[in-house]
This record gives sequence, structure tokens and C-alpha cells, in this order.
Amino acid sequence: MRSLFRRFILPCCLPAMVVLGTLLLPGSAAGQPSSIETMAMEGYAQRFTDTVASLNLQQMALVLARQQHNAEDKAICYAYLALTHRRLLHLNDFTRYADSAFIEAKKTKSVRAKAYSALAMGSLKSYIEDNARALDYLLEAYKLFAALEAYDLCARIGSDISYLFASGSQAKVKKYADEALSYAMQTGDPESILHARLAVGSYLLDQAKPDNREQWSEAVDYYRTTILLAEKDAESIVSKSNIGVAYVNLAVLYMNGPKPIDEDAFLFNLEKTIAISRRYNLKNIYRSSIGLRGQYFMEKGEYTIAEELFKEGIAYQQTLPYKDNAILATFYESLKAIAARQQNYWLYYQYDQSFAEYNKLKYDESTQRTQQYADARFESEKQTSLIQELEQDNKLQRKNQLLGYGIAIVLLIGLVFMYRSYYFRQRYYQNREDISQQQQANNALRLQLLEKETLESLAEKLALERRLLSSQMDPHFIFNALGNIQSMILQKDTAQAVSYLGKFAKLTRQVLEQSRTEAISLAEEIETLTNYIELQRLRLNNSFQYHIVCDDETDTALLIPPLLIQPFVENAVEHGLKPLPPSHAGLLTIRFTSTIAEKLLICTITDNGIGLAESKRRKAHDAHRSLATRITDERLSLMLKDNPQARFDVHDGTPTGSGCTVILQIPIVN
Amino acid sequence: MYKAVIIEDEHRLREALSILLEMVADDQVQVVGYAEHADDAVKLINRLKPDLVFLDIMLKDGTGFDVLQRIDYRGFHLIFTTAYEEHAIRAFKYSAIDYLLKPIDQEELKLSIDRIKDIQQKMVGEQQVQELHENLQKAPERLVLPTLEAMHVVKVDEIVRCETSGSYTTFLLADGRKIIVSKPLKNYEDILLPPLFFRVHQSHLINVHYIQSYSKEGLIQMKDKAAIPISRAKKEAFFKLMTEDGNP
Repeated sequence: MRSLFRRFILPCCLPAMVVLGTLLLPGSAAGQPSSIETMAMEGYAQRFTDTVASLNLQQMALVLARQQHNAEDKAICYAYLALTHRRLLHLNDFTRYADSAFIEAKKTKSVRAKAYSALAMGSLKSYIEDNARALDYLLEAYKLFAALEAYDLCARIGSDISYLFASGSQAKVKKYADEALSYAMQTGDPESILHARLAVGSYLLDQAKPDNREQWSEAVDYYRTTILLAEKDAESIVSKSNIGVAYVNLAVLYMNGPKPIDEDAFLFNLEKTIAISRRYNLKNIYRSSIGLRGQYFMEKGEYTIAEELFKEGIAYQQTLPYKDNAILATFYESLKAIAARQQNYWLYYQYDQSFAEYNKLKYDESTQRTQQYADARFESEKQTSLIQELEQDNKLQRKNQLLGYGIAIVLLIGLVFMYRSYYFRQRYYQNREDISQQQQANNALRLQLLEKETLESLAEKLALERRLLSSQMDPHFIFNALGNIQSMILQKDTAQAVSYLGKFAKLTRQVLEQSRTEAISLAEEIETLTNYIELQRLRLNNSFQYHIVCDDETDTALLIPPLLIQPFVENAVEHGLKPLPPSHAGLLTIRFTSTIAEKLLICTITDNGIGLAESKRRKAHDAHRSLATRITDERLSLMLKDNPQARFDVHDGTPTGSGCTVILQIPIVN
Repeated sequence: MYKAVIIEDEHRLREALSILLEMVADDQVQVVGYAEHADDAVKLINRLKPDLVFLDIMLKDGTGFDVLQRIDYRGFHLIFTTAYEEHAIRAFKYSAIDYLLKPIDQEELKLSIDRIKDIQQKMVGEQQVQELHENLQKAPERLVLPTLEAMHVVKVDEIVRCETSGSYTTFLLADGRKIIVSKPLKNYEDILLPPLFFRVHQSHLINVHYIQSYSKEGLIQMKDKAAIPISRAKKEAFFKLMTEDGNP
């Protein structure tokens, strides 16, 4: 029955703790809060006294943060709103705001934002009883707040972490409770100290076995000191429920104490609990004290009074404005226990139905889609404990009842058992089905996203291709070429005009064709470049020489994306070589090497022209020329997605003096 | 007879222009010199004091704009030449500076030469060069309107509307002034663009900032009390422009 006691107390004190764990007082040590954050904080501080004003103030802070596009403030505002809605038991809003806080915090590097969002998420996960994730988030928040030296928050989060470890490692429960207390002592804030002391106390309460008098006395002394300290600073403690929790836990401790129990001490503490819960209107505490009284009378064997009390507890809960299916389930569970002790199995079955109903509701509430795994695990554990419980009852029956009556009972229990077992099996398979359905939905979504991504990158590529043609056939080059042809015709130099026109037509055709293909061979690229350079030489009166060199290891059949190199050659000619005075002989060198291992073709374009700096100085007004290289730059960065080495570097000057060197790293196409 | 110089860094294009000038205006224009570099161009113009300058934008050691800013003598008609410079062409239009596109068209060249004869004052004003310089740097805020008597510089946002009458365009300004320019409305439609300006009718280009009201039947009441009709073909585009977000 002891386990039942703890379950009875924990549901009321744990949420109270975690809510408290996030209480903030203005001027908390967490760095320098912005004015928006302070506003949200002030709103949050009013959550116990004036819910409407509290929410309004926080919403205003959020609006301001949105207007300023400040992700840090937004994340913190969302986190406060999430925590406020936790206190209001609005799971939907709580989830929404915690998620928003988390998303916003991801956008920023701010440690504060990340700490608050982790706290909100951890609080949410703890609320929906996803303890493993809750621990992940809270430990993260704990670490971040410690880095921010916000010790009051550390004290409270540390306590919460300690509670969350309750079902696991006792060493960790103790470690975090102790750490929380030392943080709380650093702040000197009575609120934090009480909170942390309750965490340590909870650990001691769990450890205190009735047969180990020493340990038990230590726990009792600890709670007495805690209550003494709390009563001393009662005025400055906002969350009065924690004082109530201290009394309740002390009462529980007396009830669990060595037999015969110290009834006077138990009743004294219970009365104190009820008095405090009445004075501060602490409904949860009041409800728990009814339950505890019921437990007391049940232990004394006064089943009628106990039953009345449990029913009163249920009725009281029904009058409260919020649902708490967990506590209702616990009340019904207690009623079940009474029925079992009175051997009234008809009543037992009745209570069990209600218990199952609220227990289901409790899980439905907390069941989020992502929770299904945890839920299934939890349910199967429940099933095992139920079987054990029924088996125990069964043994009891056999000892005390007539054989025939016993057989009837066994049959009844067997029926109940079969029904439960059937019900849980159904649930288990339903859950499994839900999970697989969700996985299918996830896969479908992932496929859709993948498809969308592919389409987007395809559209991007197509748009670039469309612009490629216009950039590679630079209008300035086209019209200049036409101007040259016109001139040759006007000068009646027919042979040259025809030759020039032929080359120009050939180049236009090559560019048109290549702009529509994904890849061309290096040999084709060299042919196009040669044609282009010849045209430029004719135009500029053969004022420069050129070489195109390809090293022996480089196979000219290898494939590369088309039209990448020409814009750089054009720059070298137009802005490097053309402005050279006639006394200087221009030289353009294009050298190809390749690294097969890295799948790269390296193209080095060198000119001995006037150099970058001089060119920029001369062409202050010239805006057109960078278009082609800008588009090439975009193309290279698009290719970069597939091949991280693709890029180009421009160096002013060549090994032999002035001029310019461009090194292009072009991905080789498979 | 006009004394002309050609500033052009490509020898073939320079020769082409000379030959074309012989063909269309042999009796009016005589080419007296040429230059390939900006430095030479400045010296040449200052020395020869020509009546007409053909100026290329891209020169070997600088740009035609540099030449304009550095010369002392400005008593000439100016015609820019360019193969393709969108940016510069818009600036020319705003600054009312004549230009020819290469390869040069015979007819265009003849029209440019004929226009010179109409303009009494052949001075390339300090202000016009300044406007050109500014219009090249940023989005133009002012428009140069050349008339027979003067060069009017008007702020773009003070233009209420433009009205065409044949090959002339009348500008109606916010202060009530009217300026008549001997260029077709098409010339200004190309540079006074939506969303601020909209050609609502064959004869009307309006500044949407100065619309007082408009009716679905297609009549716009302007703030200068004028009633402007919307042509049937433009109605849809106009209503769309007026209802789009972020529009005045």
C-alpha cells in the first residue's frame, strides 16, 4: 500500500514544483534582460494574481519583439507564455508556445533564448510525462542558466531534474537536489531555498524506510527544519503551495513511520496542511489532504469514513474549474483498494471501470503523436502491475473465503483479468498500427519534400540557363562584331568581311548549342575559345598573341559544363589587353590541367595586360562588364552544391609583372 | 560646314563612321581629327575646337564621360556612340544628350545631323554634363528638357503628366508650368516608367501621384483639374496597377 501513498502525493506536488521551478522574480541574475524581456517577465510574475493582465502584458511584449524582428526576445516571450499556459493547464497553447520558443531560439545564437526555450520544452515534456525528453531539455537549460549565472533558475531547474530522476537513479536524484540547494543558498532567496529543500526532502522521504529508524528520523528533522524556515519567511514566499507541500510530506512521513504511527503528529501536520490550503485557496493541496485523510482512515480499518472521504475528494475535484484525470484515477484506485479489503468485488469492478476511464483520459490527454512509443511502453508496465495486484488479491481470497465463494471470486477476477488483458492487447495493437501509420505519413512527407527540393533546384538551373545565353553572348560583343563587319563592308574589304562574318556565325552557333547542353568536351570548349579569341584579334588589329595549352595528362574528351571560361577570357581581352599601348605586345595564355582524383579541371587564364587595379581606375562608370562573370559566379556556386571544390580565384598581377591571372576550378561531369 | 572629331578606340569602327558621314552628310560635315585615348581626346578637342564631337563611351584609357569632364572647350554639338550600354542610354535620355548605337544606322545618323541644324545653341552646358554625371551614378531624379530657347531641368516627381501633339511632347508640371519639347512621347515613355508613371492613353502619360480620382468608366481626374481618358486597351493594366499593394 505504500506505493499507493506516494502516488497519491506525487501527482499534486510534482506539478506544483515544476511550475514553481520557473518562477522568476524581476532582477533575476540571468545577465542583462532587454526591456521586452523585462515586460514579459513582469507579466509572468502576475500569473498567480491576475491571469488576464499577465497574458496581456506578455502578448504586448511578444508583439514588440515581433515588430523588432528580435528572435531572442521572441523566443523568451514565447517561453514565458508557454510557462504561463502550463500554470493555466492549457495544453494546446502550452505546446504551441513551447514549440514556437524552440523554433525562434534556433534562429539565434543567444544563450538566453536557448536556455529559456529549453526550459519551456523541458517543462512541456515533463507535463506530458515524457520524462526522458524532459530530462534532456531541462539538463540543457540547467547548463545554460549556470553559464549565465542565473542561480535562482538553476536551483529550481535542478530540483525539477531531481524529481524527474525519481523513477531512475537515486544517486542522480540526490546529486541534483543537493546541487539545487547549494545554488539556492547562493541566491539566499527563501523561495528558491524552500523549493530546493523540498527536492532534497523528497529524496529523503523516498529513502526513509519505517524499519530504518535513524533514516526516518533524519527525514522528519529535515522537514521540520524546512517548515521552520518556510514559516519564518512565509511573507516573501509567493508560491504558498510549497509550504503546504512541506506539511503534506511531513504528514506522509509520519504515516509511513515506524508502527504504531505517531497519530498526533500526523494529524497536527494534516490540520496545518488543511489550514494553509484554506487560507491561500490551494485547491490541489486541499484535495490531497482529503485523500491523505482517507488513507489514514483506511489504514485504521474505518472503511466507511475512508470511502466517504475519497468520494468527497472526487466530488471536490469535479467542482474545480480544471480537469485532473490523474487525481481522479488515484481516488478511484483508493476506492478500489477499500472494496478489495472489504471483499466487495462488485464494487471493486465498478470502481475499476471508473478508474480505467480516468486513467485512459489521463493518458489520452498527455498523448501527443510523438508520444506514442512512450505511451505504449507505459501501458504495458501498467498491465504488469495490475496483474500482480490481482494475483495478490487472489491469494488473500483463498486464505479467507469458503472454497465455492473463492472459486466464484477467482472466476470473476479471471473474467476481469481477461477483459483487461483483451483491452490492453487491443490498445497495444492499435498503438502499433498508429505508429506505423505515422511512419508512413512521415515517409510520404519526406518524399514530397525531396521532390519539391529537386523541382526547386531544377527551376533554379533552368532560370540560370535562360540567362546564360544572354550573358555569354555579351550584347556589347555582338554589336561590336557587327560594327566591325559593317566597317569592312564600307571599306569594300569583302574577303575579310566574309571571313569575319563566317567566324562570327560559327561562334554564335556554338554558343547557342552549348547553352542548351549540360556538358561539352574540353576539345569543344577549346574550339569555341579559339574561335572567340580569333574574332577578338581581328577586331583589335592582331594587337595580342595567344596560347591555349593543355597538359599531357589531361584528356580533351573529358566533359565539363559549357560556357564557363569565355567570360573570363572576355574580361582579359576587353579590360586587360585592349587598353595596352601599341608598344606593348599583348599575350593571353590559357592553360588546362586536371586532377582526376578530385574530379576537377583547372583552367588558368593569364594576361599581361594593364591589371585589375588600373582597369578599375579607368572604368569608374562602367557597369556592364561584370554581368557575365557574376552569372558565372552564380553557376559555380550552384555547382558547388554537388562539388565543393568548384570556384574561381582572381589574382592581380602575373609572375612576370603586371596583368591578371584567373584560376578556375571546374567540376568534371561524369 | 561642321568641323567634326571622332573619339573612338577601335580603328574599324572609326573608319566606318567616317565613311558613313561622307555618305549622308558630305556637304555638311568634315572630319578633322580623331583620337583613341581619353588623354588625346581632351588635347584634340581643346586644340581643334570642333563644332561636332562623336564620343565613344569605352576608350582605351578611360571613358567618354571622363573626357567631357576634363575638357576646357565645350562649344560643340555632342553625339555619344555606344554598342550597348543600357545604363548609359537611360542617362543620355534623362540628360537630353544625343546618342547613336553601333553599328551606326545611316538614317539615324542623318536625323542626328539634321537635328543639329535646328539647335541654335551648340554649347554642351556645364549643368548638362553635371546632370549626366549624376544620372550615371544613381537613379535619375531630374530630367533635362531641351527647348528651342533653353535647357529646362525638372524634377521627375514634379511632372504631373505629359501630353503628345504629333512629334512634340508637352510637359505639365506641378507648379503650373508647361514645357514643350520637340521629341515624341514614346521617347519619354521609355524612361518615365511604372509604377510612378503610366501611359493611360495614346496621347497621355501620367504621374500616378497626381491622380485625384478615377472612375470605372475610364476617366481620371488629375490634381491639376485635367480630365484624362483611359484607352480601352490600357484599362485593365491601369486598374491592376492602382490596386496593387504598395502603390500610391
